[in-house]
Amino acid sequence: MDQLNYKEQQEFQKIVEQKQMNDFMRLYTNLVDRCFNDCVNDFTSDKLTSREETCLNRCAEKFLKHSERVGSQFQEQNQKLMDQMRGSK
Amino acid sequence: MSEPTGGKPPAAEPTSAATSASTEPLKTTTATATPPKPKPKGFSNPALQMMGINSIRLPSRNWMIFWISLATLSGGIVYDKWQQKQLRKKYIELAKPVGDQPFEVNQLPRKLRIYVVPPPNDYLNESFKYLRRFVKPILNSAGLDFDIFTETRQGDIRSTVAEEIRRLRRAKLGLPDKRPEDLAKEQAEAEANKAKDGAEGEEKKKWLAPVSFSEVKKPEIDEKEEETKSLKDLYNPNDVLGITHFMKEHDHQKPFVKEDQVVSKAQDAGGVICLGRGAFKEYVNGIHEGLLGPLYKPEKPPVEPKLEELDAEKDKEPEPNANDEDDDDEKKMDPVPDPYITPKEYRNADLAPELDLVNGRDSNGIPYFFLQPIAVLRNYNTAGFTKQPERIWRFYHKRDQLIDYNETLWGLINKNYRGFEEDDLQLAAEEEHDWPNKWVQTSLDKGSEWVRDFSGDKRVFGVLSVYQKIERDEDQSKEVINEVKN
Repeated sequence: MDQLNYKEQQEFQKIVEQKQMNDFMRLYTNLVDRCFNDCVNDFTSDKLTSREETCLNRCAEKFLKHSERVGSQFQEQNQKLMDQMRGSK
Repeated sequence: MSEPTGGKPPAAEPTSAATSASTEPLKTTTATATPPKPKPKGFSNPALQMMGINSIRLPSRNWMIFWISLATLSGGIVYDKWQQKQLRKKYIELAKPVGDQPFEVNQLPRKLRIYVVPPPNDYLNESFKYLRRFVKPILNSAGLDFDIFTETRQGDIRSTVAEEIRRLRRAKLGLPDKRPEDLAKEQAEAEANKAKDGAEGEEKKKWLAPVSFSEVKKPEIDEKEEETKSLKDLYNPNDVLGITHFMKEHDHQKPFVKEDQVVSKAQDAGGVICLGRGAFKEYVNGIHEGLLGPLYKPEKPPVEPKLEELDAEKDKEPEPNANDEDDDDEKKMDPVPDPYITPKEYRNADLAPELDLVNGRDSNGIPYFFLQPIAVLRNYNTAGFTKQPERIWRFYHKRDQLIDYNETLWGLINKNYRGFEEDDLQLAAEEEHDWPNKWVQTSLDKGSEWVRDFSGDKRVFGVLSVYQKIERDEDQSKEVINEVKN
């Protein structure tokens, strides 16, 4: 069922890359949304204060680290499940 | 004297009592009317009288007895629970600095093992109750990960621990898990079983399917390009996540590193908690059996002569003609395997020559679990008529159990370990006073594991280690909390 020949592999690669880009954009929008909501509340000036700058830096870093961590845990859990499946077969 | 409003607070009473005194005549039941007792005057002062409260009186003697006993009984419970909350909060605060240490994205924390057993004549849920209330909050606050191993009948923990050690030893020598003769026998049985539950098994497995891409619709296959590759080899589900794109760009993909892998001394890694005297005994016995015992099941069961009859029945494994679903039916579990070696034979046995007992690591790079220090927590669970006062005392003093557990756990969190000594076999021995006499008697008659002579080999003691309690007094703890806050 899941054996692909060369053509199919090409197509599949495209699909996967597209999905990855999609999710990446979604990640970006979530990041911007989150950090803006949490860090920037004062609109008396149109410039970013240093406080807001540091907050944004940290927010972005933490968000990405969190996503990384969740991604690797997800991979590990999936791996475990796959091994279980294979083991039980 | 009629008091229709006995249950209401005293402030309300005088008004109704005043009205009742004026409207209803005082009841007298005897012919010779003894002069009725005058109502006690009660407390009053002009300020209260201005508010309309004419007199404040205590309720009658009977009501007083009721309220006072209710207040003492429930007050004791409330105080104990409140103290438990305070103590738990304090211990969580103390453990927080340990848990707040920053970790890299690919780092995993220290992992403990917890062996839990039910107290005699009681259920596993009892032990879990105290694990949840007293142990888990502290471990979670300190950021320690743990695996819980339980048993419902005696001997399970011992046999699984021993089997694990034997597996490590066999793996070192490259030997298979079972002797070739046993393997052949089991294969024959498995073939017989497969024929029967083939259809069912496949259905069950469908529900366990993880995220996979096998549902993608395929276009028509061209005869020329026959070279196929499996989807599983090309992609994994993470490739679709946007974060993978980010990590590829920034070259972030790193494998997980466990804190236990980078430890220099084996005793600094992980840790084992035995919750219950039975768990501790079985754990130590299992280690002895694994390290000193043979690698495969001995042909003749090495039991003492008088127990041979009882154990001979246990040895016969239930034939697969008990064809009813073995996994569902709990009563038809395989019997607990006998120990491969008895304490008397410890002296003559070799101490696991295959394993590096100073700094051995398993396949994940984590030091062997039996090299990790042991923390023993005792179960508090007693029954019996003569023990009721003790039970009532414990019911109102559960905080003592929390304090006791915390001292050991604090030693564990701070890695306060030392080598195992002969006297350490008596850790948590006070729990045995709790064990009901009748239960102990029946166990002795049956030859159960928990009441057998508990001894060990000096060489194995040299391999093990123990966590020591750290007893903090109140002032020290306050200082630490203040330091942490500032």
